[in-house]
Amino acid sequence: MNKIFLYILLCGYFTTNAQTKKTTLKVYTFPEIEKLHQQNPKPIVAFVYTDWCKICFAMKKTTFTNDKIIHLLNNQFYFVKLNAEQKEDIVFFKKTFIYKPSGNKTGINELTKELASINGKISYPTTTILNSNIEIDLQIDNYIGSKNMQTILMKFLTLNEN
Amino acid sequence: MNIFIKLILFLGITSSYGQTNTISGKIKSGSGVLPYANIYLKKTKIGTTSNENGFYELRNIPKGNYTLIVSSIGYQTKTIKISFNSNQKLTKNFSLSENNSLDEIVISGTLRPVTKSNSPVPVEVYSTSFFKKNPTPSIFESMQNVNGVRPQLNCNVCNTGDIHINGLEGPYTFVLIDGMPIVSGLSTVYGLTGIPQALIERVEVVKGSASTLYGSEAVGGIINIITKRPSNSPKLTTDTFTSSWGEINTDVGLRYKLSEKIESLLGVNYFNYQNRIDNNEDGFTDLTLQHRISFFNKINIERKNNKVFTIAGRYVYEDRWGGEMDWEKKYRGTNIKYGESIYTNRWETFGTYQLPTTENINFQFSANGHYQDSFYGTDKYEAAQLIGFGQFVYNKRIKENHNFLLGIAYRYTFYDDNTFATIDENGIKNKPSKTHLPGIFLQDEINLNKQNKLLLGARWDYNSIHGNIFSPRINYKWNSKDKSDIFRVSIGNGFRVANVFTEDHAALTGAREVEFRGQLKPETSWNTNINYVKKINTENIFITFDTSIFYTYFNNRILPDYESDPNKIIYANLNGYSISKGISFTSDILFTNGFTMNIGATFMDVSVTENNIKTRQLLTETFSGVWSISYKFDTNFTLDYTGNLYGPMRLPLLGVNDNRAEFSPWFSIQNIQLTKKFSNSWEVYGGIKNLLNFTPPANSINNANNPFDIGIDTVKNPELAFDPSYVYASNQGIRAFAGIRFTLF
Repeated sequence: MNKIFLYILLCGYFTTNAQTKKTTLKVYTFPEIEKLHQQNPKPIVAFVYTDWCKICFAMKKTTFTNDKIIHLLNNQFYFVKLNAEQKEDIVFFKKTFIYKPSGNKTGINELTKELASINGKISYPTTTILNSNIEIDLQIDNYIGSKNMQTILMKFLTLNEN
Repeated sequence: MNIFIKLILFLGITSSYGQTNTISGKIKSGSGVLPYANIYLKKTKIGTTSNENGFYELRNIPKGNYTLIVSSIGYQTKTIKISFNSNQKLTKNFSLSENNSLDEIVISGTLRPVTKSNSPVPVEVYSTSFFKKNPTPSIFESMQNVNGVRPQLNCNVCNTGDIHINGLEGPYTFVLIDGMPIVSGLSTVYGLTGIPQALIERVEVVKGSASTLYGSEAVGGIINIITKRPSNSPKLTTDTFTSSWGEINTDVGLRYKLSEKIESLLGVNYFNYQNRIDNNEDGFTDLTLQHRISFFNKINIERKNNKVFTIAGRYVYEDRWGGEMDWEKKYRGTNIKYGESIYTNRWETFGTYQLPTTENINFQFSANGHYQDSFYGTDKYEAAQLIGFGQFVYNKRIKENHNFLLGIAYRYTFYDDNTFATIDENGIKNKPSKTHLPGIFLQDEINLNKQNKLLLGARWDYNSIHGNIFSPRINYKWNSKDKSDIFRVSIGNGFRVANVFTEDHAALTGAREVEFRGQLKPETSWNTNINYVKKINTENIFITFDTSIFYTYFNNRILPDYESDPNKIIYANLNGYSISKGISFTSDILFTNGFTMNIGATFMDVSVTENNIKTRQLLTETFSGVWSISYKFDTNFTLDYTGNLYGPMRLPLLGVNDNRAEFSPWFSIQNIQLTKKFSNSWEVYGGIKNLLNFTPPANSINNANNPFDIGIDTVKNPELAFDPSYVYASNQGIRAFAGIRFTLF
């Protein structure tokens, strides 16, 4: 019942917004999310990518430019992007994540390991959803088209309702 | 909504007697357990998630009828009706099947075959999945699937080869492992064989002008093999395949911990082929018999302050021979039976140590020894090479937009063999060649703005034999605002000292005599590349078009001259110039339904102009095409169709009376493979190689039945001489192969 209700709610939301002009995806930084989260806890969608990953680029260009996805992410989640090989420190919930080099010009940020490792293995892109308690609920190391992304996000919301 | 909550509360209150019912069990999916699945009773507040072992338990359930729901994202939800009386303990296990709407396709960036990095230098990145489309015993052979790159066999008997990039031979290609040069010379061929493929994460290819970091020799390009990080590789990987010819190749990768802070990765590759096959009936083995083992170990040491320390070592042993079908080891070096037998021993070590300073300074080092003990018929070639290399690289970011790199490097090369190449001026005493090559380089990567990047580099080396070498370089990159269009230009020069014996096995094989005319001078060249990349991304299809124009001008080139005298291979300075130019197109198309295509074509014109006469370079095609086409039926089956097509190449003939064709025909090698994945751990593959059964003509080895030229005046009748240097494709015809991979995470 809750599921259906939410679907109707969201579908209604989309149709009423269909005519409005394109909205842009709100991308937060990790410190921003930390602050906002204290006032208004929401699940977090983290997109872990690298500069050289073609599928990551494709997802940015397709899935994350899709109006429905943008609305869902803007309204129900905090969306954050993480360059897996980012050299700058990231402060998130009082912990500092640093870049861990592993050789000549190779290495990843510690946060990548936290968010994207599945069975000790990291691949790109990885989309990670953290619930409002900042616990990892879901990791998908796949290309996710906008239709699938919508299904996943909705399902996540409905399951979390229960 | 409110009504529901009230209803739940109401039910909760009324049935709060004897809440002792329990249900527990395991949630599974396929062969594994499913952690973090949601298990709850509909319309109640009773619910939980399964733990790491897939176990769940719901306690204190009041008696009544319920709907139990088991769900997990990415899996199909299960619903069952269940009723409790009182004090019941139920055990219920569930198996969830994967939700098809989510796993239609598995496409991952790291697993994606080809990508191009963000750098101003056009680097093509090939992941191991690209090479798995056509499994081969070595990365050397795998390079046949890369556009513009051709593994060339140099010898019909011993089957040694080199990598041609855009028409330039192996010595112009620099091979690196993890960014560390395994410097040219004797090792060019072995740099790419005997690297356990289980340990390879990706292979980066740069065609044409490379970075100042690697010295000025890499005019043709760079092949950089990036091995896996211990922290990001499976516990165990094994990959074994065999073919209907009886080749056996095994790769093993093992991750282990020496201590809390020391992680290690061990790789072993074993290749064995011991079948004497002579399908073309020339009396010679079609494929060289080989026995090769290599060990590779890499250690990552965790240090204070996050500094890098990695060290790796590799050892390769190879015993190969080809020759007359009834050759035996006892005939080695004799004129009873013709055989070419090569024993190779090679060790290398390399690593990076970041200095414990606040500034970012890396010390990179490598050392290797290479020993070859060989006989080409009765000609003995025994050589030893030792190379030591070290460099300090200081990296500093100044403001937001400058990334400086300053380095000092030193390289020592020792080379000794039993030929006249290492004999002193008087021609009496053996005098090994020793080269010192100190150098300094500076590079600045400038982010002009979000769309323009400039890379300026300069390098100065001092060669103890040839003096000063200065090589400047400039790379420029522009990208459109949305990064869908990228344009790159690069200009640089190259400098190389030819080392005939170590680089050119043709110099040793067959009956031709080697002659040097004059003092060989270093080769110098200028190279320019223009590259344009266009990306088109829609919901259903991702396309990348990549076009490159390349042009290299050599004002000296040491090329083997087979033609002036059919009895000789003459090496001399070029009295003229040489040009390599061309254009290449690559398109990478990926449909989200699981269909992928990578198609490439290269047109090139490599010529030598000497005394105003222009000739086409030998053994160089004007057209080459490659393709890899794959379809993923569902998550379990993959079909790969790979192949290449080569235009005619000019071949070395023995004078005008040689009746072999001057040009090779158009030919194509095509392969098909089917892979089935059983679980995350097991994978089985098999297929057919060389579907069209293309083999070069049987008379490729000239006068194969008289390899010692007995009774032949090769000066008068050069066309009758034994000659195995006429080779452009492998003698291996159509064959089946099958293999199995096991991975333990």
